[in-house]
Amino acid sequence: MFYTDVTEQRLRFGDVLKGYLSTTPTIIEPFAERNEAYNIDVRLPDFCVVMDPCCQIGGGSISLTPLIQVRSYFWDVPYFFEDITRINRVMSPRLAIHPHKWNELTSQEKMELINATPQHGYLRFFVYEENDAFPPYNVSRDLRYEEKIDRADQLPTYEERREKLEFQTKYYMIDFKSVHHLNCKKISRPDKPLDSKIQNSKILQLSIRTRNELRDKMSFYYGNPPDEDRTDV
Amino acid sequence: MSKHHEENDDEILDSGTHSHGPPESYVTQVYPFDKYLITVKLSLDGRFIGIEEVQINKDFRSYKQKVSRKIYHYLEEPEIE
Repeated sequence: MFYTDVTEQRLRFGDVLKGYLSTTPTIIEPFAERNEAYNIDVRLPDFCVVMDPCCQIGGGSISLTPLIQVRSYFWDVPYFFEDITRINRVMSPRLAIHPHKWNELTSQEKMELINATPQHGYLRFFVYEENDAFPPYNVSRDLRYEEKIDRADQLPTYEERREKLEFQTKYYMIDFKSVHHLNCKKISRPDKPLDSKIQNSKILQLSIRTRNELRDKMSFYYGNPPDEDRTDV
Repeated sequence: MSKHHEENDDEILDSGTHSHGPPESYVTQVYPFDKYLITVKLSLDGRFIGIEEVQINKDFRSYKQKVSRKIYHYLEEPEIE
């Protein structure tokens, strides 16, 4: 179960909300002086997702990220096409790599991926399962990838076929890079009674299992040190 | 990381410390092993001749970690400009 059947009377990490603004400031370069040109894009996305840990929600402010359409790139990967929520969990690198990228690998690199242990990938993204609350949208792809065995090295390869694929979906995703902050005095701590307007803005609540998956992936997104910060000792 | 060594007869004669014999031809190949870099000598047909050098690998990541980092790169969506 991806969502709970009944939503609680408080905001939780991963909740889907409706009616919250999203802002994105854009600058050309860091300001040398105070009055340089900038742009602030203000939108009202259909849905936003709560990005604060449950215990940090409240005090008249909240961190949110808009719910966006699943990047069409992911639908090309047969492993994700079968179940797009596999993006949320540890995945087999061999199966999760885009077929076009796979075809560009050397035999040695392919072997590395075949032998690699499952791990998180596409770290920025987390998919929200389809739901009647979400409007459907169209997906259109021009290429289809069919797996075959390469005679030269006896390893899998993908044959690209020009074939139109169109379908509708209600799956959405969030991008951890798009988290923004919003102030609203009606947002209170989870232990206080929830304002009725805030309660009405709450559309869906993740099940405990899904919320744990979101927590795991987001922790990994921030907790994955870059090469230069890694040590063996 | 391989070097090809081929000594000609003149160099062998000039050196004065070698025994006279057929010229030595081999390649060296560096293999990472744990925290070390092992330089091995291989004949031109790929047979193991011996170890030439053992060095500390200054890149302390293990082979497993390096592979793992590379895999993250494979599992990234291409940048949208």
